[in-house]
Amino acid sequence: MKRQTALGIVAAVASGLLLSACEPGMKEWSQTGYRGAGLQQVTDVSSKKKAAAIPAPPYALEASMRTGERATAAYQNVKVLTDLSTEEFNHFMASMTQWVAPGDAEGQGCNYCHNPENMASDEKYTKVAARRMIQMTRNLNNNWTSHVQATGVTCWTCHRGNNVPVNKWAFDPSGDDGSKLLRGNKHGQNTPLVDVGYASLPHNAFANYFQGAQNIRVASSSPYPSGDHQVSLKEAEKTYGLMMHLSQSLGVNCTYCHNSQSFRAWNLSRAQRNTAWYGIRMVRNTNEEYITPLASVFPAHRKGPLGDPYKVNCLTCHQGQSKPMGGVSMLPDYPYLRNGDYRPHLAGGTPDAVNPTTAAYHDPGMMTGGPATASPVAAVPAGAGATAATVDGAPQLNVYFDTGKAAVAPQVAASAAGVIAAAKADPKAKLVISGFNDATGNAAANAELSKNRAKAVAATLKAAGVPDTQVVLEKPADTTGTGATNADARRVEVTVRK
Amino acid sequence: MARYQNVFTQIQLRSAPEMGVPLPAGSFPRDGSPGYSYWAGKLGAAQIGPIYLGRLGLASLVCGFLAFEIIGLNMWASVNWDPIQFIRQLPWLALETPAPQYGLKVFPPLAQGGWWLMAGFFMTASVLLWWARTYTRAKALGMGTHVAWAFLSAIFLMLSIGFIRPVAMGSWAESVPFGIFPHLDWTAAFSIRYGNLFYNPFHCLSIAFLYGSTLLFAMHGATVLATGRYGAEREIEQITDRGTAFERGALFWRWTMGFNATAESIHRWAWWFAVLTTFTGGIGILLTGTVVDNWYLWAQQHHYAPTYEATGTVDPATLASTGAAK
Repeated sequence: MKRQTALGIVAAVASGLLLSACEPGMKEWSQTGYRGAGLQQVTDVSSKKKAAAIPAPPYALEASMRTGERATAAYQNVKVLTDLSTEEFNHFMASMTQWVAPGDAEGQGCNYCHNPENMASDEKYTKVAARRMIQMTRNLNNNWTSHVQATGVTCWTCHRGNNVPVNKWAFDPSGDDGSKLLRGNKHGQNTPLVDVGYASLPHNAFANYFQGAQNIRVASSSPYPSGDHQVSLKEAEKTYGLMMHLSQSLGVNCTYCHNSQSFRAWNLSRAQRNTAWYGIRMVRNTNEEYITPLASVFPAHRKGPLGDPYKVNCLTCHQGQSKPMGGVSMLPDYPYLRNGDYRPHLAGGTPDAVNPTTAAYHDPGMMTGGPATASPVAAVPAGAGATAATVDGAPQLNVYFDTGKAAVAPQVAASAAGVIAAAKADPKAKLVISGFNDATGNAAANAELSKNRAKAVAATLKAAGVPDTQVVLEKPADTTGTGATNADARRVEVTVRK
Repeated sequence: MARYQNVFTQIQLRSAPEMGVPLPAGSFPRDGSPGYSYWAGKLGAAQIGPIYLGRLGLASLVCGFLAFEIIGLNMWASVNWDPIQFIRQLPWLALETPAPQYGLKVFPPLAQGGWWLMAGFFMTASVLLWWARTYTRAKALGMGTHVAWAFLSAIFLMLSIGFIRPVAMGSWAESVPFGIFPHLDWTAAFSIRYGNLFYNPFHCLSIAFLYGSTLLFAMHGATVLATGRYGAEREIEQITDRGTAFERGALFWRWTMGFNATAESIHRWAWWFAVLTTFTGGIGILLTGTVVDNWYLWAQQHHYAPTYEATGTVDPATLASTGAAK
């Protein structure tokens, strides 16, 4: 009897485990928005992509070596890297070899691109392609900071030691071509592919969306049907397939960017959705301006089944990580990949003046976790928001508020990283919080409001892990601060005092 | 252990098979010589057969077979008639609807949705014929037609999704592909396209009735099993002649929650909950895309969805310096 009961329990537990489709193993969980709205990232620790080792530069390059004789004087046929010193040029060639054609095997090393008899010759297609790829890299680092932020990219970001990056795409003959054949006709979908997360969604998302200029909008901007928004469900399935590619490439789920309430609503989305929006445009620009025109340069075995060069998608760089290579920037060793003299202005890459979207946008270093960037004085938001600044070499946080409100805007999290890091680095440092208000309205009520704002910011900092002892509330002599405008004056300043 | 507490039926009747009442003149005969199955007896009645197929049943099976074959052969053709790939990829394979450019064309090319229309026609015919069969068999037995009307509610949801709404939208492409994963992907895409079906009030009602059905089913089943030792499974007799089983069940619920359904009305509760699950679901489908294009915005307009503080993110396409194009 007892044995039967025990067997029954074991069977019930085992079948429960089998049927619940639960994955054993540790999970990491983080909340990304308001509670109760499903805004969270759940990551299976064991399947998380590890940041691959980034190769160190082949040898150290002294600062003085960057100022010597120009490469154009020493070498012939230098067309792109004209602003490099000969020493820099040699260093970069050695680096590129390590990134793209490493090893001593035949056809690797310098000879992958160069004819050893005549290094200046353009006879090998790889040299022509590499030249265009250097221009592409500079374009990405200069014109697409909206996506690559201050971290930037190098050849390694995509190549990772391979002649051709592992993750790429070309036009697919199995797309839905309207064929009247039944045999082998899957209408460009219903195939278990990693590109669509093993769903049966249309898998030609790259051809559909990684070229051209259209916005990818399927949900309507109006509650009610109208002739202006006639979008088929089939279109929704295609965009869904594309989103599965983004999700797979970054190792994240939908709510990394979107809000579960409305995938369409930008005002509910996370800043990451903006980064992704620019990323899609960046991929299109890269494919159209830099890769597709190389069709006449590449030999047939470097092209896809329909004769177009292999192009980039999100996975080319990201390779399963939300920040490629864990967000580490290689640019400090290769500053000319951003600051080269090849710098055409690309309309639409990055908004040139103020992008009011996010604090993370204004302060890219915070978002990428990459090297601290010189953050210019960011624009003051019209209502609630936050900016980070550097005053006399110390980080400062300015939190702005809506008129009459003491609610802390969610952007503070990104902008506060600088002061929080300073507090954590030096346990003796104090974060001094001072509230200001605009000069309009009742002075006593304003002083009270300033105090409440300062307290709200203090609570936010404590919630972010700053010990109570390091948070100091300090009433300024004059709470009607020195703002240029009312919006500027409605703020709380957080400064670091050592 | 007392036998009324067992998961499986403990008693199996064995005698000369029950052959049923005589059939009216002109009917097909009942098919199959009845026998007994020990394992069927564990779950229900041990007697298997005879079955009455009749004209409607035969026509329904023929139509259903045609639909099944059209779907299966289309799927098999899509993997180049490879039997191994057919099995391996079966959950992904589909018979797709016509593309949007064909609108409501009745005869699009066969490979571009023509077969889908035919499969849909035969499947619908099969289901409607089977519905007529449940109606006429109930009449033949002198029963009410409750089963037929409940079935019709489910058919209404099926036709709302696959026929009525696509016709209202003017495009077969709005309808569902035949396929295991493909129809699930369609469901998710439907919600994404129409701004989150979660905010469709009829979707909410359908879910409430669905979950309510499971609750009622659990309460009713548990009550009958728990009073089985007093003969509670003889429910129909208890309607007219309340035994101690019914009295105890009623007392239990009245003591627990102050109110009890009766042996008859509990089935009315269950029937309505089941019927309204698919009926409200069908209404929700029919309103989507025809009356409401974005349920989230609709719910915002009607103060039905909660509003959260904005994150500060704006649509980059609206920023002047970026231009809409790039």
